[in-house]
Amino acid sequence: MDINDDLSSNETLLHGRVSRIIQIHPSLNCNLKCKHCYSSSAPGLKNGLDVGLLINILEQASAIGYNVISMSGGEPFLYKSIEELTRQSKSIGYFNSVTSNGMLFETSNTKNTLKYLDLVAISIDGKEESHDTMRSHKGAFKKMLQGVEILKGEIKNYGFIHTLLPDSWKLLPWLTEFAMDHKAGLLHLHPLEMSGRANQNFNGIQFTSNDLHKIYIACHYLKTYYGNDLFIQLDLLHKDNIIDNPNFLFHQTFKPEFTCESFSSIFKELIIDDKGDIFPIAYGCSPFFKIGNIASIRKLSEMIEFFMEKKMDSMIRLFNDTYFEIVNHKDFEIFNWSERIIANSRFFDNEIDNTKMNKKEEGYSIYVDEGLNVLG
Amino acid sequence: MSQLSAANLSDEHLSSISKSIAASQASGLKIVDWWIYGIPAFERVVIQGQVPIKEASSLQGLIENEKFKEIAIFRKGIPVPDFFQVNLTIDKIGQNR
Repeated sequence: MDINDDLSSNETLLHGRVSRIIQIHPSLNCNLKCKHCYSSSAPGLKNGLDVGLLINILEQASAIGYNVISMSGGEPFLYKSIEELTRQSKSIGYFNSVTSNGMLFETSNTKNTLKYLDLVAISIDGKEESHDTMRSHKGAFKKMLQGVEILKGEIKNYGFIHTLLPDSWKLLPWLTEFAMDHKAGLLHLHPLEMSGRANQNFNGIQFTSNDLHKIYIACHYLKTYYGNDLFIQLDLLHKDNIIDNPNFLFHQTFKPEFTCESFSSIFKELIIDDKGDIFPIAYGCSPFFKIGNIASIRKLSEMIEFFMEKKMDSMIRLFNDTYFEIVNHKDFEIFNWSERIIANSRFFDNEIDNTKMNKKEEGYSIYVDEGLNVLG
Repeated sequence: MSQLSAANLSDEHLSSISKSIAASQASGLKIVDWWIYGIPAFERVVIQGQVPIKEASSLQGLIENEKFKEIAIFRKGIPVPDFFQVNLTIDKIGQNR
């Protein structure tokens, strides 16, 4: 995540820049059908975003401060234009990171792409049996291990990403040792999100307060002893660490300037989903907060200015409501900020019609209908 | 970690430890060691951290935090003492609120 931890963001970059991330889902095509997939990616979903349009947006986004791309999907290495996209984004100046299941590293497309990547995070769900079960694919773990061996020879920075389940705290020491044994530099722990296929397969599963505390304590315990060699990133926060933090609350006394130039400072993550729609904050955010689409004839700066003008008040309300929900509710002592923002953004779903521009207003009607212009 | 598994820890008990970790983080303390005591485990926890002397003002928040029953501060650093080592004790957590 993200907004949670600026320190973690800094440390993913080679030159100590503050990271402003564009998370790209170029396609939902995947060689696996994982039970916990939040984007319902699966084999056979062949459509991918037009690489020319993506590069065009990346050039514009670079000019307003974004400096990292983080590709997931789907399996990014099934995206047919990944080599061109990463080559071009590298030449623009982006730090390229990819989240992958690690099973396709023997293909020439992948090998050619690895030289343009700065960081690869491999998904891991646990020990072999658990991993294969979650991935609905016997042999997935072994294949992933083969991929890790290839990766080690090709790339300097790599790590693992684990989707936390309620009892994952029991697994954390093993995961840490596993990452250390394989000379990984990153262990990213992200809580299960109840969307996509996860919603079907894990409906009813909830993190209890007890689970969350144990994950939080276990993670910090492990950071104490392994943190010098392994960066452990936990996408969970304690509520005491957000109180009065301007990353989480638009103070009455501290309102940033809502300009295109300040946009990447306010929204350190920009999402481009598999339809080419552009969102702030996180994948799965309400369509109400859509900024635009990569196929729009408008410049990114114009889309952002429109967003700032028409939706920033709602965004401030969303942030502040979420902030006070967490601070005032005893059940949110340990929480996932993005998950709460996404959940609360859904209250704005019905406001979509109210924000449509009058077609007579200066050419902005494109935003109303641009969803129809999306590339397949 | 086995102690986390073995002990039947209440939410309140765990919350107290989490809050202590969060407070340590907020003060800029880098946690370097833990001691976990008691049967069941976690009846008493000592977290050892370090903070640069230049940032020592951040210790005020820890000193005022009632979660910590005992705070021991040592000036450390070789050859020039340049950081404080801070031992924070969370004791009888369920009653210490």
